[in-house]
Amino acid sequence: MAEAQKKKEIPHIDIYKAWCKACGICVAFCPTETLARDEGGYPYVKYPEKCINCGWCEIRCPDFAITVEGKKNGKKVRDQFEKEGPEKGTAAPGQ
Amino acid sequence: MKKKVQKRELLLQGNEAVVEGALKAGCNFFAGYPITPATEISEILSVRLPQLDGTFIQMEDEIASIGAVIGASLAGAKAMTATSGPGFSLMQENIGFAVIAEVPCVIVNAMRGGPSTGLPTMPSQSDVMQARWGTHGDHPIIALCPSTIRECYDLTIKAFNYSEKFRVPVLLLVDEVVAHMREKITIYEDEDVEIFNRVKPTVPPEWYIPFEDTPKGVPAMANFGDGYRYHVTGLTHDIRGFPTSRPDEIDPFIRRLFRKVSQNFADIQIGEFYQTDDADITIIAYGCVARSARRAAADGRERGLKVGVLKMNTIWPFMRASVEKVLRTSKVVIVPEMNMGQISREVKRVNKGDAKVFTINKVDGKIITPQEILSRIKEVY
Amino acid sequence: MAEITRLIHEYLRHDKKFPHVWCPGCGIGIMLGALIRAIDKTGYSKDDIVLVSGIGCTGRLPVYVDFNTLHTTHGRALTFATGIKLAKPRLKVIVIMGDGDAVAIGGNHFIHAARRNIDLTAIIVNNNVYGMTGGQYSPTTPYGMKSTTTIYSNVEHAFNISELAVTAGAVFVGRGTVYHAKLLDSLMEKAFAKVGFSVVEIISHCHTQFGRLNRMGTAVEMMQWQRDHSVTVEKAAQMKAEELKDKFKIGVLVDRELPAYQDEYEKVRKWAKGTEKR
Repeated sequence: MAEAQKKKEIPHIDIYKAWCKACGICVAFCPTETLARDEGGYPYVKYPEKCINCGWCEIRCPDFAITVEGKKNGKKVRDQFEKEGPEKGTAAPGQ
Repeated sequence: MKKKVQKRELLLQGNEAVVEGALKAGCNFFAGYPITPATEISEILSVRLPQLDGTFIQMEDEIASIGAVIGASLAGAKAMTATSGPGFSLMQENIGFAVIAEVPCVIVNAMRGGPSTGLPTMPSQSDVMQARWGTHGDHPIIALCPSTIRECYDLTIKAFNYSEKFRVPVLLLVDEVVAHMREKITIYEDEDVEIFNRVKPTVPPEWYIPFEDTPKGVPAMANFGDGYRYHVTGLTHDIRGFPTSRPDEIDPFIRRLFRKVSQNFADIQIGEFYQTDDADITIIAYGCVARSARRAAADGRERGLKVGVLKMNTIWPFMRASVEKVLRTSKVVIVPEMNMGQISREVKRVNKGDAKVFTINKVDGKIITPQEILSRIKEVY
Repeated sequence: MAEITRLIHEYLRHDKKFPHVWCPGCGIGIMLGALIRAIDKTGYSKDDIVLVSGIGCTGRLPVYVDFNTLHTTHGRALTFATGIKLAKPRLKVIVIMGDGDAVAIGGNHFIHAARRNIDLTAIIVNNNVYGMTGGQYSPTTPYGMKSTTTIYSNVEHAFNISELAVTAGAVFVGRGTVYHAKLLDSLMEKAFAKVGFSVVEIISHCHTQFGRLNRMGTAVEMMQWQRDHSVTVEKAAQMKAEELKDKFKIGVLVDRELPAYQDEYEKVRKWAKGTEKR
């Protein structure tokens, strides 16, 4: 059961190669070394199961070229995202 | 019958008349830096603008002043600064920005003796070529020059109108004599003076092309905060305002900047002919020297000399048509200037040899007197 | 986490060519992400935000984002921004500058905008070099470092931009690095919420010019340098001067209250109209 559960929880990592400039920052600063660089220097997901969805790669990518979807599989995350939507804490201007 | 309008009869200094004109034109923002002989403009506006809910700010230098003026204009204000030679030199780069980004604003240059610190309290007309080519790169410019207190008032209004109508920086060259002397002036309060405001876009934001190439050449201007989120840059840009290095976009852009002004010479070029039709000798003059020229012409007429005057209120763009007219009808043209010959070069350039052009170049910090002009006429005619 | 990038895409100008112009690994891209997240938190509508930049690598930032954007002459961004803010105070004005842009040619305007407490946020990306023009040294280039104009090594001592801002009167000064991306979010949020002249100095890197000439390695290694040489303000308080020798502080350096310029000038208007006595 744990096995199946763990597989289901693998975060979904997207690398948008059109914008990625192979700078290597995401690979270098991934705390669990989930990512690695191919011969062209571009990142790829080497150990998907290692990803803990900390989002460090996404927040440090200078070109917004890597995204990490949440812990659950794609669908569940989307509901969570919509649920969170309204209370995303957008303060009134100037507050 | 024109109804009796409420009027104010004032004894105004040139700088004061510039302020009255600016406020009449709707100026609601001024940023400046103290410099003789323009400081009165800052001082008076620091008093008047807050009374009218406008904004006055004294910046840390002239570069900052013109920067703040351009920023304010982009936010929708009618903005002005006033300086003299040294400050005018410092402002040149940002004046160029106002040209390329097509930002309406007015810059007053109370001309004093130059170069450098020069003669802070004494007049000259030696910034004329700097007004034309002070900022780098190919660019058109509009520069007006009053010779009376009335013209200080009227030309400041015109300066704002041209800046808003053609989206250009407009220079007002006021030599120290006109800036500091006083004359009576009657201001009619509700006189229907034409006040022009920039044309706003009528299309919705998604269709707005901020630097569109229209036949008239002047794109509609949205102000920051109006919902038209567009990009303004000093880099050469395409019609959407994004930087470009494509020759097929750069060339039409630069030519449009010129077309905006050259298409409207008739509107922009203001001058007056005094008895030039039958004149053998015509004096071409501007600023305070135009006053001496009028007197010299009258004295000349008394001595049986047919003397006329072409007074130029528009320095740039050069009033070529009017100058050519007097060059054709006169035998001798005199160009008295308080510099080493800056407008006279232009007169000679367009002279096709019909008339002989002579200059008076006075650079001792004193105004050219009618007698000096008259004796020059006797000398050459 | 994907929502971060989704949010960023909401603010980008998609009719501009991406990927953006900065070198692979440049810190400005990281800072842009933090900037957009922080702006989104302010709740301001896009129409009311004005992004002003000067000349240099940072100067090319505003064109990519969907606000009222203005790319001014070198060093003069703060003067244009002052004009915008005073002419239309409801606009949220944010000024993006590089170290040369802000404290070399723009130094005079920087200290005066701080002194006047103009209500805007100045974000200074400090990478110790003039990157766009090929790697010349700047007022923040450390003593002894190499650049294309100090090939025999720099004999000038660097400014501390944040301390300069504090001394000149800024009401909020924070410093972060592009390595500490999360910290940038919170610093910028605080700066945007502040009324008055707020400064966020962001230590970044230029591996293309400065890093290569001084053998500081790739963007990754320079970010690791930032991680290892920064210490939070709180921790620094307990450290001895000796330990702090080659470290710089990150976090909020000053956060105080002073009336903003436009509110003060509103008083001038009231005095001028006689509706209020001094």
